[in-house]
Amino acid sequence: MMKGTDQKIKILLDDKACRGCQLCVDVCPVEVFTFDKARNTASVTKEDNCIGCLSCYYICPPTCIDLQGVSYSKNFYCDSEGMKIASRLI
Amino acid sequence: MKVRVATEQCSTCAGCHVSFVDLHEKLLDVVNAIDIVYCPILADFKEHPEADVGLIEGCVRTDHDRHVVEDMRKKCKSIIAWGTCACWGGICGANTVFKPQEIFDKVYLNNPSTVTNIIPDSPRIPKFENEALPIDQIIDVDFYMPGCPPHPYFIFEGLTSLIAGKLPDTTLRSVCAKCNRRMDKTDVSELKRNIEGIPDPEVCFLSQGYICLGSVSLDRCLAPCPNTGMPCIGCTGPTPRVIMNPYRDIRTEVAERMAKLTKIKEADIIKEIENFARTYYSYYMGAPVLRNKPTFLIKKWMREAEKEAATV
Repeated sequence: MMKGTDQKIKILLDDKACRGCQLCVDVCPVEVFTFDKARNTASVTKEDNCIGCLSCYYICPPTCIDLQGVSYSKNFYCDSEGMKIASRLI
Repeated sequence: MKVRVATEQCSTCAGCHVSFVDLHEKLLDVVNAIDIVYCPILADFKEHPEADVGLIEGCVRTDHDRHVVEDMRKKCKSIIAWGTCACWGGICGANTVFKPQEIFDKVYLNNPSTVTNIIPDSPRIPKFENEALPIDQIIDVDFYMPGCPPHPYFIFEGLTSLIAGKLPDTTLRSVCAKCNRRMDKTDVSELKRNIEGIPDPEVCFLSQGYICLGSVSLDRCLAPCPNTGMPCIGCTGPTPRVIMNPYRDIRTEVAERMAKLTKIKEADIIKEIENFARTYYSYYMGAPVLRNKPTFLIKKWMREAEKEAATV
């Protein structure tokens, strides 16, 4: 649960796109991820720990981590023009 | 009733139109549902007809392009910026770092491979504008479909979904998501240029010390380059993560990941990308949303690289 809110964070990891770089395991300050050597992919093991810092979201090279229940622009400054374009990409 | 589609070209190479034809048999599915009412590479019409969807390829480089996009906006219910040139300026946008006079000088007056010495000047030739701009700087754009060109799969998905009145089921992942290389942590301590050595076909270019823009580029290509042995050059334009954040940039994102995968210093990678900024940023330096980032100082990097090259 995100500190100070009632919102539950859900981490969506697309393991088909995961390249096994382990960068999410390295950057996560609260050890949400573990690395599965046999499958060469990361997996979410302690989702409840998540504080919504978005470190994994931004470091992931194949951008295969998405977070539900966290605002991408509320706590972190985002460019409104860029947000508009990003929402219209097809 | 069929959906009326108009396609138009501005300053570009027509590659996106070729990609549309590359739908092959699937083209029949699309053509059954749409009516192509305007397409300059197929038929010569002088006026834009009314249409439901307008696909515009290319950036705005001349006053003719400006007129064309403004007229298309009036005639089409929704506009799709089609391809990297229309979305980010593309290769035409790469000359945004030079003044028109410098370009004319290089192309017509002091071109080392030709003997011309006249700058073409006639009322029949559209006037050259000061800079090449993506079309969203001139008109409102409803959707962006980047790619150089967008892979036929994405054109098919985009068009069929919009015809059905819903958003396409395509992801906004980076090129790495479709790349088959394994991202290993290595002890590589030196950067390599593309011409140096033979990279391991199983392992990620970043792990091997080659700069690859796959992790910052949107997958609208299905990753043909890294899968066949060439580092990604970022032709599809940046991922939403780079577009949204003013403090995140191509060079810092790549450097951060590469420094974590190898033993190369982050500052060295950033310096290398800055030295060759015109290569690494060639597809999107024309887009104001990217070039207006406070950390994007391409003219300074160009001056520094020239100074460095002069001292060697």
